[in-house]
Amino acid sequence: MSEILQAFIENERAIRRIFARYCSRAEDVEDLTQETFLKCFAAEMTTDIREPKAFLLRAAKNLALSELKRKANKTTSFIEDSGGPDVLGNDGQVSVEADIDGRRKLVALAKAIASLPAPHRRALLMRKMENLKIRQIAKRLNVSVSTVEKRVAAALVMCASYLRAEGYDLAEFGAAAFAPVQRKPGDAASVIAMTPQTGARSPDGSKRHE
Amino acid sequence: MSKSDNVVPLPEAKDIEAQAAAWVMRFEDGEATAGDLAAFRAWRNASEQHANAFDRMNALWGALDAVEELKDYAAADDNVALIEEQRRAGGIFARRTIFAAAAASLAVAAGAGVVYELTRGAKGETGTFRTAVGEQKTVRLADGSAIELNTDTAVDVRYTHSARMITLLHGEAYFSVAPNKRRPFTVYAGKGAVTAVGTAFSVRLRGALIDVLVAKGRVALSTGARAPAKDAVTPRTAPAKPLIEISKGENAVFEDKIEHLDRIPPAALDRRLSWRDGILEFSGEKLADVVSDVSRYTNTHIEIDGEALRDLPVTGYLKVGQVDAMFEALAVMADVQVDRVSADHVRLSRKEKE
Repeated sequence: MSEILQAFIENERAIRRIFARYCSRAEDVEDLTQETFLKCFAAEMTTDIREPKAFLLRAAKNLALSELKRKANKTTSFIEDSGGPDVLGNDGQVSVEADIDGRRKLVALAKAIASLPAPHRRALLMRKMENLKIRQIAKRLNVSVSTVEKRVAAALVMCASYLRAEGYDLAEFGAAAFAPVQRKPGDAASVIAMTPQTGARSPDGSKRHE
Repeated sequence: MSKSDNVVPLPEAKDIEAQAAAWVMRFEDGEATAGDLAAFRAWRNASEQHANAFDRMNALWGALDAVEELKDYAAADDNVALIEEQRRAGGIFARRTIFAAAAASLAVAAGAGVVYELTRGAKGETGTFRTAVGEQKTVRLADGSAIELNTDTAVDVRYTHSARMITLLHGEAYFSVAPNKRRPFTVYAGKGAVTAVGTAFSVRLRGALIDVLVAKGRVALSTGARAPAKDAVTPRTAPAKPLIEISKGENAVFEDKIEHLDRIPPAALDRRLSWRDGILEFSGEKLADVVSDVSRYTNTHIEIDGEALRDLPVTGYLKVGQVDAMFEALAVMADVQVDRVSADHVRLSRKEKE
């Protein structure tokens, strides 16, 4: 498990208290608490954090302050940005809700990844965050392609177990990023993987000028 | 987990998920062979548990694309400042290098494109560029901007000393705009106008609706615009009504007003723009939507027989122009019956249960 996730679990209540001082809505407190985890987990990937607890609490305080500032500026900047208060209508509202929903899923997925053993976490993040191909990951880690495949496959299974253990319904994550799939229970064999055998991509991921 | 007293013990659900995950990985980077496809089909059809486990793992794998957004979190100003502050306070070791190289992937199209000459006239330079169904083309302009035309697209280009005016007559195009504040770059499409200073974005005309996706920078959308007249030196003075500004990763659909506004995670953004690489990429869209998208690239009429089949989620990619590969994949992987009604008419239906 990542040290930030460990420290977050141990100090979640303290972090929540920080936001409770600034926000009245329980929902906002919850969202900002989870946002703190996201920020710190992202930081952990570029940096070795020696004192995860201090880092988390500091990030929470910064976030609470910038949230206060944002609230104060909200009305004016909205009008300036959109050219008028009525432009967005209800669509803006829907979009904000979709955004929050997406954020919550991201938190759940990030925690699932953070819970993985370090080698699995690293391989999965190289694939999904850095967008490297399996072949490229194998090269960087100096292991075989099949080792990476196995490691990432194992990471995927562990993420699924983690999410289930946390009470998530995996079907919630079935919605693709830009075209939500309405999956009915019992709807068998609903996903196909279309893989033209002619190989639409070269193995190193370069796609142009074949 | 199972109450049945089968002689052959059912494998644990986790084992099945592990097998499913292995298949997801096998298909991941497009290196599956015809033999793999046959083996996969046999495995998947062996039990409903297999099929369901594959669906679950495949969907979760797709959902994990969202974590690419963590890159934005890591690079956000406040996070960088926080790391710096903690470093000074001694709470941080060294900077790791593994993820440091992870730069934004949407580089402006490189490659050996022809620089198209505009026709020089008394009132500036003009040109009209078109692609046929299934054709794609990159138009490089002398100012350093580039226009990538998707299938069945026409654009009118008009450059004057004070304005760069593009009219998207129909279809879809991706604009990489060379910055020049004194010469705004505006794309007119239907009633809409999209104005940029230095940025990259795509515009698609879907009937009267204008669909704008920003890959870099920021653009301003307005409505009530009219395409510049034939010999206009500057855009029409009739004031267009400004709607909104959208920036990187945002998608807006509008005509008279904003119909839809959305933020798109980086991986999905790449997918939406994958046509620029001559590839159509899908991640769980309904077959009906996939077919309507693919249909833009072919004159073959594709008919879907049956409501349930229309909702079949599709994951994968295919090369522009390789419609037959899609039919083959649907037949092999999803038990879809493919009937060629005539040379340019194909019907998809659910195969009878074996």
